Amino acid sequence: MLFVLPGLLYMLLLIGYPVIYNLVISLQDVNVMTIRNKEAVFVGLQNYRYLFKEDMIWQVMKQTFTFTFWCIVFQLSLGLLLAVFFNQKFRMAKPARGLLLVIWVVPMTVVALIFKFMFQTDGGLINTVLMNLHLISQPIQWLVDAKMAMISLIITNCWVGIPFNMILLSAGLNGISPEIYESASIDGANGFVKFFRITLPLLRPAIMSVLIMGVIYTFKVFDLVYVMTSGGPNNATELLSTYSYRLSFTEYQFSRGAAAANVLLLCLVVLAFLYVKMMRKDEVM
Amino acid sequence: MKKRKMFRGLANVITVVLTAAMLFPILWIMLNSFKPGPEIFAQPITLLPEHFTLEAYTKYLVSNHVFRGYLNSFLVAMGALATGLGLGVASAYGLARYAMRRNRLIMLLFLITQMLPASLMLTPMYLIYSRLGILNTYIAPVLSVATVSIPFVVVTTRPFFLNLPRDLDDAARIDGCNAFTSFLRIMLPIAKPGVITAGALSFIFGWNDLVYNMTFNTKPELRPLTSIMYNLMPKEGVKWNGVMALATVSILPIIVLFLILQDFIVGGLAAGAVKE
Repeated sequence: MLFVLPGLLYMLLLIGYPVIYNLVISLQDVNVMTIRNKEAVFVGLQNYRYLFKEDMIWQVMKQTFTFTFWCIVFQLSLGLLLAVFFNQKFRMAKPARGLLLVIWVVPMTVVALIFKFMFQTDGGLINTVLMNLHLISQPIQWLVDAKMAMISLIITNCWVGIPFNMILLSAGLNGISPEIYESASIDGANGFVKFFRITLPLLRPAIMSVLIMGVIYTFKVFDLVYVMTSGGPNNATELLSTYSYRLSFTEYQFSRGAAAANVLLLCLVVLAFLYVKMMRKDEVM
Repeated sequence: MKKRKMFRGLANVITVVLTAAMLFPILWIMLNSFKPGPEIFAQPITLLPEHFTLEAYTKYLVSNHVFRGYLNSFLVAMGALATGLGLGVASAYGLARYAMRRNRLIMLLFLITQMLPASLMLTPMYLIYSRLGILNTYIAPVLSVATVSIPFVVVTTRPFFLNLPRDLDDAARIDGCNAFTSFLRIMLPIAKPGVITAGALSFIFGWNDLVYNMTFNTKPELRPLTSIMYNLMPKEGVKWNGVMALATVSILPIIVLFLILQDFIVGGLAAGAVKE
């Protein structure tokens, strides 16, 4: 216990306390005018009422779920595809797997900057390549058009997410004994059958844990959106995390920002709860 | 047999092309940082800089205090590393070595804290730090980044301690070590690969942080490289070659660090993920 205690105390003090304090702030009226006051005024649910009176919070929630959903769909499926591919025995598999993870250590600030640059409407690399391949006749307004901006963000986040998912799923694949595949081959199973009948079912626990981790990490993405689109154009890419930040640190409505952050937390708790329920059901079956 | 050989050949080719394509964006900004301003958006697009220049480096880096930025990034990263390892490794060892009834609960707590969004912490932390008077110091971002690195260190190093034979620790005790010296002298050196992975990643977390630094430290002289970069990207009129030069110099150290420790990091991430 003596070894565990310092770390645990640190976390309770620096995470536990702020989480509770955040709840308190969201029930008070703290903004740039009242921050210097000794005693904050208790206002009950007024901040939440304010948030939900506006359509903004619903739009932001919808966008957060949309962003998370598509990111997970692509990074999980493509990550799995790559993991299975690199699990075959050929020379370049191992070095490539390692090298691709370089992407994951690049700071999100730089990732955002790289893609903001490549998604430029005029003279950006992506439009130039698409035009030269005659796939499009007009440059796409990647970061200017509301819908395309969201797609650009999803593409960018997947660029980081795919290698990471691939590494975690590779670890799961290594846990499957090759003997199972060998005996399946003897029984005449082809690659397709092997994938759906052996790989997928045995990898299920690994996929589930990567899925829930992915959902949680994608749900709270901040740096990428903040640097690449800062929620724009016209709030089309505002997510719960960036919205909360904007309320607190651009508008200095700390209590409203705290309330928005709690909406984010509540969504995460609901997702985690659904996950636990799903796992229980799994075990019963 | 022949089919197998063809598959391998094809797979190797696909892999090389795919990896190159995935990594190309990083190379692309590095290449562009050596182009003069007008060439960056000139048509037709040039792959290699036609008029190679170091202008972006000489003009923007010095004027934006890049050396101070390096120092700031390094200090925050080292702070996160020291706090993360110091508290995290000890916790991981305690959780692995001593079977306690509450172990599962404590482990769960670490896991949950790791998953909480930074945006949830920002407002309360800002108000708390402001009351403590540690806004605009190195302490603020270090304290906050460490809340990410400690749980991460616990998750990645605990499997190493779980795999160590208990007899080893008992033998050290008989030879006159107490719980603490046995941990420091015997167990820690054996768990070195895990500690290296966890340390490297803690450093990277600190180096890569934008949001805590940007929120708590508004003084220009305390800005790490990520904050300097962000401030060079206003809504209109981004100085692209300057930003790209800055991005290049800020990712080089961590890419080198990653390549040196690649096997450790890939293995460590996988170990942590499989375990839980």
